[in-house]
This record gives sequence, structure tokens and C-alpha cells, in this order.
Amino acid sequence: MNAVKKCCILCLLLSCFVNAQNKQLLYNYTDIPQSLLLNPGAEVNYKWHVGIPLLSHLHASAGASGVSAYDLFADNGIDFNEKLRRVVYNLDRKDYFTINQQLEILSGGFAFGNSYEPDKYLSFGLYQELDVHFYYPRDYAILAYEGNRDNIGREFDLGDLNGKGELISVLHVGVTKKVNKKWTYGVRGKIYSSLLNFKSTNNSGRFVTTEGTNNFYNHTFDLDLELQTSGVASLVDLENDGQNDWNQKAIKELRKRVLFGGNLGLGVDVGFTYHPKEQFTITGSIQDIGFIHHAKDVETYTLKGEYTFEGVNPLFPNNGSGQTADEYWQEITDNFEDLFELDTITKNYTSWRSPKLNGSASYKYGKKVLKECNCTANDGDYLNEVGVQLFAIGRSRRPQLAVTTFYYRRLFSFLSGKVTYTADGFSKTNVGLGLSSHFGNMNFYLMADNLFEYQNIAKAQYASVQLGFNYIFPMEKK
Amino acid sequence: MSKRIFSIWLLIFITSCVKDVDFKQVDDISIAPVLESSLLFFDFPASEFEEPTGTAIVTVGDDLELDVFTDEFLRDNLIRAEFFFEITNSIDRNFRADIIMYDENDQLTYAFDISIVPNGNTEVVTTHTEVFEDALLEQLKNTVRLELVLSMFPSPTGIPLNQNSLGNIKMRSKATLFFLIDTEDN
Repeated sequence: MNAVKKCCILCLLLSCFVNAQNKQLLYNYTDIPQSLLLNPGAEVNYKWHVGIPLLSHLHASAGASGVSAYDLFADNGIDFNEKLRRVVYNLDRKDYFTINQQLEILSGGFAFGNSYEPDKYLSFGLYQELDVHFYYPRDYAILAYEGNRDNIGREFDLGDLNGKGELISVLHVGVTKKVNKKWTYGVRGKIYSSLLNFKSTNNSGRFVTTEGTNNFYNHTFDLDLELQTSGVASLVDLENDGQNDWNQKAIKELRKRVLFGGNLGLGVDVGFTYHPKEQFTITGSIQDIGFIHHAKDVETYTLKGEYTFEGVNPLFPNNGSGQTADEYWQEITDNFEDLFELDTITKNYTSWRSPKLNGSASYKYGKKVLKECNCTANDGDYLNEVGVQLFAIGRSRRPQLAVTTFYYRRLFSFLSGKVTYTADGFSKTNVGLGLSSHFGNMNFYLMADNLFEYQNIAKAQYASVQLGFNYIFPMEKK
Repeated sequence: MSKRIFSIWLLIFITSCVKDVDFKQVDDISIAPVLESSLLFFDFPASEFEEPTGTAIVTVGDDLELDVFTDEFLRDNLIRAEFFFEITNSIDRNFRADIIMYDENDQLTYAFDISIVPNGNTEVVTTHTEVFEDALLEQLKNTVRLELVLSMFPSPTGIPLNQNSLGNIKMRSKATLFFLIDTEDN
């Protein structure tokens, strides 16, 4: 039983630290090599770069639509259970919780092609990604919260259970090709190795209690639930000499799966940059059009069946059915057992990655004024850029969207910054700030969003942070 | 300059914090769902109790396994249970329903009965609520088997029951289960 309680509490806690995948600050921030991961057609201008291993890109984000940690845990004198009640009822089945984390293990790139003016850039790397996304299972929550007594006639939709999670490593190689001054495009191929995966996105069914004829109520169960897992069963089965021992073994086992050791998949990113006029830029990219085929260490659990229970008629053999009491009772028990028996099957399955779409339109202006002549530097870059960005991610029920406006400014030769204002399912007032500094060839960047909420991050429904170190060797100015 | 930028970042990180929240509140969690489930039912015509003398006691009964109350979740979180019975009788006889509960060693845990009085062949509705709380609830949680015995008593006027006798005896019942789910181990 305690497991059930712990589970409930864990879910509650988890719900407070949820984030998403929009990287509006990094997108098209071409001072930073990792912008190539968001758009392989980004217009980078380096001879070569190498990410500092394990430190080149760290991204963590979590978000919850419709609720923040503050809503639930505010120390404001309101009874916790009253706050919990508000959360249970205020969220709807479209609300979701999400966590995303990425850690780049290795990365690098170099320009090649025409030796006078290399027109291609090859970039590659290996990163690890954790992505968890689940919808608020509203009808389950209300059934657990209220019970069925005050819900006679109400159909609880069991399809409200919808979630997936994955821990993967991604090995990738991309080529960016500058066609001319106007066009740059790129493509990146990816090999996914899935360390862990679970997916429960095709659930349906209902539970309803209605007024009965022979007895007070008919309870109708109509279940069609499925949970697919890969990489999980073998971890559960690890020999266990205490928790520490199990943790070590599990980590060792997971590490084996990082390079081709897990369930494998393929994916592709494509993107472009286009300048209709010198100062105007349009970009677009699609990331992670791909799948993972799960064949190793797979276990699928299903719960399927239909049964209506109206109680037990105990007086026999008078009921006229010709059954004996034993047979009758056995039938009821069998029906329930069949209904709630978890079938475990070994079945290969394919999980689709959540594809991400990015786009932007922007305008550059303001060249640096040179003090010596009080004129603008003709050969220099523009110092400012303003624009809008669009982000969408495909999720199991419907895509989630975000719109961002941004202002980019080159502050000094060694420092640039980007400010974003984003509206999405989490918040309509998300302001983010990113800075990228270049001291010598060392690049350090740091980005965080939802800054207004930073004074009390518990109030934020979404927060993300990205940082990293790279060693960049830029193209010489001609 | 870089120092200044650095201090800006530092400032942001120092001032960003989690304020005015108390995660320990989760210990106060208490959810109180109420479940209702159909229980026993039957519906018999007078002819089922056919007895030619008018003086015999007729009993029918059966028992059934009822081991849900020993479930760990119920043991930990069920704080009150009510069994509600509604008997509609139009047979011109007195009845008594005995509900007898046993634990896994076949020892009696609890028993109660419901007396049903007639009003000729007019429908008489008798209701009965049995509340399980505290010590009685503990006895319910040890119950694995339930026996229902329905006894029909002799007619005061000595009228026998046959195939043509009028009336029915009908029972409907439900259980109402009150839970309190919290972090305290009960």
C-alpha cells in the first residue's frame, strides 16, 4: 500500500518540476555552435570548433501547464488539502507535465570545401537526452479524489492516462552548406540508442456506475490499457544486494547502452537560412523526424476486458439459472480476475520521437560607428537583430506551440546577448536572457528563461537553463 | 566589463530562489474518497417458499468468499464502512435475514440480522444500515467469508404457501466505503 501513497506523493512532487523543449534563446544564436543542433542550416562562421567534453551543452527544463509548485506548496496559511483540491479540479485533461534534459558528451565541427572560402561545415557529436511527458489524468485523479458515490452516472474516461518517457543517447553528424549569400541549408543524420523507454499513449475505456435494475448499481468496467517498456525489465531483474549495489549495477548497465548498446533508431534534422534582402533573415528547421525500434528487453503490459457487476445473488439453487452456487460464484471471480489480470507480453514496438519545428523571421540593423571617422564600419556585422520565432513540438494528443519575439545585440566584440519574450502553454509572460562571451577562443554561454519568476522560481510553471563551454576558431574577416 | 557581466549573472542566481513554499506540507495530505458498490441482491416469488403445512420454518442460504476487506490498501485506509439493505416484501409471512461473517480460521467475526414484517400482500419496505467503525471495522477487515441465511417463519394464521401464493421478497444492498488516505500509518 505504501507504494501507492509514495507514488501519489512522487507524482505530486514531480508535477512541480516540469519543463519543455523550446530553446528559443539558443535558436539561431549563431555565435554558439550548439545552435546547429536546432537548425543544421544555421549560418555559422567558424573554421572549427570543439565542445569541452561534458561541458559543451547542458540543458535542463521542466514545465507544467496550468499549475506551479507555488499553487500547491505556498506557505500562505491555506490548508494544503484545499490547495490540492483546487489543483485537482482546475487542471483539465489537456494540461501536461514535461521534463527535458540534455547533456552533450562530445561535439565538434570544421569547415571544408573550397580552400579559399570553405562553403561547408561538418558538425558532429554525441549527447544524452531525457524526455518525459505526460498529460494530467483528470478522470483518474477525480475518481481517486472523490470516489464514485457522488458520481453516479458519470463516465470516467480511462483514456486520460497518456504519458511517455525516454532516456536516449544520440550520435549525430550534420553538414551545413552555404549555397550563396542568400541561401544556407543543412541536414543532420542521427542514430538513437535507447537506454530506457516507456510509452502508454493508446489507452481507452471507461468506468461508470449507473442505477441498476436488480440491485442499486451496475458498475461497468471497459478497459483497454497498454504500457510498453524497453530496457526496464532487465534493470528490475538485476541481482539486488541492497539499494547501493543495485544503483551501481543499473548505472553500469545503462552506460553499456550509450553507444549502440540499446534499442536503435534513426532520425534526421533539416533546416535552412535565407536572406531575401541583406538585412532580412528567414530560417526554419525540423528536428528529430525519427523513430526507435524497440526489440531488446521489451515488455508490454495490457489490461483489457469488459464487465458489468451488479452484485451477488447468493441464494441457490433457487435462482433458476441451473448453475450451482459454486459455479456462479466462480464465474464472478473469474470475470474480475480476467478483467484486472495484467498480461505481460514480449512484443516489439516502435516509438516515434517528438518532432520539433522552429522558424524565425528577423531584421538586422545598426552597424558599429567608428570613432575615428564618425562613420559606420562597412565591413562589420550589424549589431542588432529583432524578430519573431515560432516553435512547435508534436505530442501524443496535439502539438504544443510557442511564439517568441527576440532582440539580439552584439554588446562588445567579446560579448553578445539575446532577450526573448515567449508565450506558450505554460505562461504568457516568459522573458528569457542569454549571454554568449568569447574570451580568446573560449566561448561560454548561459541562458535562462522565465526571469520574472526567478525571484521565486516556485511560482514559475516553466523554467529552463542552458549553459556550455566551447573552443571556437572563427573565420578571419576578409 | 566581464566582471560586471559576471556579477549580473551572480546576482540573478543569488536572487533566484524558492520562497514562501513549504514542501513539508505534503505530509498533511489527506484525501477522502467515498466508494459505493453493489453488494447482495435477490428476488424470489412466494412459490419458492412452498410449504404445505403453514407451520414450518423455511430457510435458504448460501455463503460467499468476501476477501476484499483483507486487502492491504483497505486495511490501511478504510476508516468506515456502511452496509445498506433494502428489503421489499409482499409475502404474508415474517422473515429474518441473518448475515454472518467469518475470518480465515472459520471463526465468527460478526453477525447481524434484519427482521422483516409483512402487511398482507402489500409491499413493505424494510431498510437496515450496518455501520462498521473502530473495533467493528477491524472485525470486518478480518472477514474473508460471508453467509446469508433467509428464514421464513410460520404463518400466524396457518395458511400454507403454494404455487399460487401471492407476493415476492426482494433485496437490494450496497456497501459504502469511506477512505482516508494520508501519510500517517494507521
